[in-house]
Amino acid sequence: MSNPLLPHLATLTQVKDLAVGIRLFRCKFNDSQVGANFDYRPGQFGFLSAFGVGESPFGLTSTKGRLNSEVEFAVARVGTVTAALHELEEGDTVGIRGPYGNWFPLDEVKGKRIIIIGGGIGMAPLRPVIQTIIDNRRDYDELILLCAARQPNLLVFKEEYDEWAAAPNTRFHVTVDVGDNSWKGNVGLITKLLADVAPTPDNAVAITCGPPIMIKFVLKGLKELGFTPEQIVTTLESKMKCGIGKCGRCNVGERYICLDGPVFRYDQILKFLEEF
Amino acid sequence: MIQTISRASLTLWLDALTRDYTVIAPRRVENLVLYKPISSAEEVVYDFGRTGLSAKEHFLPMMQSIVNIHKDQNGLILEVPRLGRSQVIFGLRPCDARALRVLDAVMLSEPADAYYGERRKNTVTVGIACKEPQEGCFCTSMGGAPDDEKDLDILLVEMNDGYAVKAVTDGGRALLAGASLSEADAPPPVSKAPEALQLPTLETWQGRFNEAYWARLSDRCLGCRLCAYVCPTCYCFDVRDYAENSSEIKRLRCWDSCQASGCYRLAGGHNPRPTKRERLRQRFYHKLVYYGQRFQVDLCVGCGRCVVQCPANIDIREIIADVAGQ
Ligand SMILES: Cc1cc2nc3c(=O)[nH]c(=O)nc-3n(C[C@H](O)[C@H](O)[C@H](O)COP(=O)(O)OP(=O)(O)OC[C@H]3O[C@@H](n4cnc5c(N)ncnc54)[C@H](O)[C@@H]3O)c2cc1C
Ligand code: SF4
Ligand code: SF4
Ligand code: FES
Repeated sequence: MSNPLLPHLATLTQVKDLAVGIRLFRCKFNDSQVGANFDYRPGQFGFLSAFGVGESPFGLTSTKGRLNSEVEFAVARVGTVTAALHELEEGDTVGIRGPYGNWFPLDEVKGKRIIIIGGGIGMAPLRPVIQTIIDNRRDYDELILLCAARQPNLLVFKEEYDEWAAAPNTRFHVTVDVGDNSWKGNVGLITKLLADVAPTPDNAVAITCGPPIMIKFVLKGLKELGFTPEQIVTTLESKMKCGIGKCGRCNVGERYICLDGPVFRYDQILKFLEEF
Repeated sequence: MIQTISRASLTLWLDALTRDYTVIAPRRVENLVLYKPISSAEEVVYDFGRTGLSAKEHFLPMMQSIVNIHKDQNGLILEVPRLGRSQVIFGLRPCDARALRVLDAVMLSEPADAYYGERRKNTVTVGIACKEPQEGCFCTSMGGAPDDEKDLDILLVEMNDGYAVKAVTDGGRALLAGASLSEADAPPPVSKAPEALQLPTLETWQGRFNEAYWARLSDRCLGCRLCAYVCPTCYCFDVRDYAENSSEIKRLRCWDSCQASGCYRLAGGHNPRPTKRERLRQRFYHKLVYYGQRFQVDLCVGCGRCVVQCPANIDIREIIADVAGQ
């Protein structure tokens, strides 16, 4: 019997700071066949092990197309496992299992205007969405990208902003809750930026990921702009111990965020008995 | 014609089984009767009513290493601990056997849990029917019966000087090959069944989700988690790495409970089920609503353990009646 809880060994080929307390880990599977077979879509996630401390789920933060057989995770340091991961250096061994979960419906929204709203580390699972749209630019209508963080030194993937802003038929905006001396861009909550940019809901789909409190207000803002729940795609976060529907931590009603999510349309979430 | 086994033959058969299998049976452990490995049939307790814990630990151990990690200069080696011998669980109650079917739904659905699957595949169950319900029993409300053979490999039913024997599966028949059986004309006495409760409909459960009832009920809950540990169907687990030293690490999987305050708390502090109200409600909705919606079987077999062991007298039968009632 195959064992989905047994991680594959991988070696860190690149470790770099993306922001204060957030690091990018690029990993190469020790068994190249595992790497070749590790097939995933934007929005899916994997478990990353710091052996001796534990494992945690993280979004796969690049498309398979851009990385071939390596995988990337962007990890915010917030607790035990993430702190242990941040101790690791290039050449160190990690464990990876996955890919798990569903993905953003990028085939279904072809031909539509796409509004992407990401806050903080929530940009991690959105980055492969942006990459997919840029790499298949003609499959989609206008792309509106709104990125946010609490402060400038918490913005992730800054090195890629030029590429994103230069993509054809794309509007790109960044905002921070609180600026600093060198910050010349927008200051204010992402909901304010959303209201200022005011994308129309015609033929549009909004995709959003971020901390629960941000998502809550973004949903409200989108509703005010006339977006219907069917036009909004978001993610749900929960504690996870397995990723394969066994540990019981991620259950909301009869749904398992690890198997049936993490990506949900807002109209699906509205039907839940429990507010999650 | 009914096959029977005398007490003396049963003892011989069990002793013979201990040579090839790990035989697990109700035996005395201090002042409790628990399903534990035996080395001789003499240790088996027959008048146990209901064991303090179910036999769940022989499928989902309280704590088990799922990966042994060896670390040295040459790198890392991961090893999956294997189950030793095949096991026979003797004296299982029909409700505890049904619990295995209930657990199969989640544990063996794809992607299947390899550890549970291996133990399930290498286990033969020999049940003993209950003669009469114990305090708190309500198996018949949850789809079971005190003499239900469906989820067992062999069912024994007590009669005058031995047991009526029914091999239910091929595995059960094979296990009985070495037993000395006799025949009887008269069937064993019929088990006394507990009275069945009236279960609320799905709509009733959904309609009562936000009622103040759950806050009132959870006021009493101590969050001690006993209900999950004694339950044959509770399966939630936690996973942690335990480093014995710098080169030997075990990835441990342990029983967990939805009543623990940190069970759902995320790094950063967000907690979707912040109080006992949400957590206790989750326990009963998961058992009696959501699991059935997903797997077409409820996550409770009516064994009554949580009913009699909860220190706060939180009684799942009472909750069923309260939700179903006005
Ligand atoms: C589908 C999904 C995708 C995610 N993607 C990313 C990402 O791309 N980048 C990123 O930085 N973070 C991501 N997270 C959050 C990340 O998993 C947690 O920050 C991390 O588990 C915290 O672990 P810790 O040990 O450092 O924290 P501690 O608070 O010390 O947590 C202890 C244990 O609790 C569990 N836990 C705590 N918080 C969470 C949480 N939010 N989610 C799941 N388990 C948790 C973990 O099992 C952890 O080992 C994602 C979470 C999910 C569910
Ligand atoms: S056994 Fe009773 S008091 Fe303890 S956690 Fe369960 S419901 Fe609460
Ligand atoms: S919920 Fe209580 S009665 Fe039901 S199976 Fe578990 S311990 Fe037994
Ligand atoms: S993460 Fe374990 S059940 Fe979903």
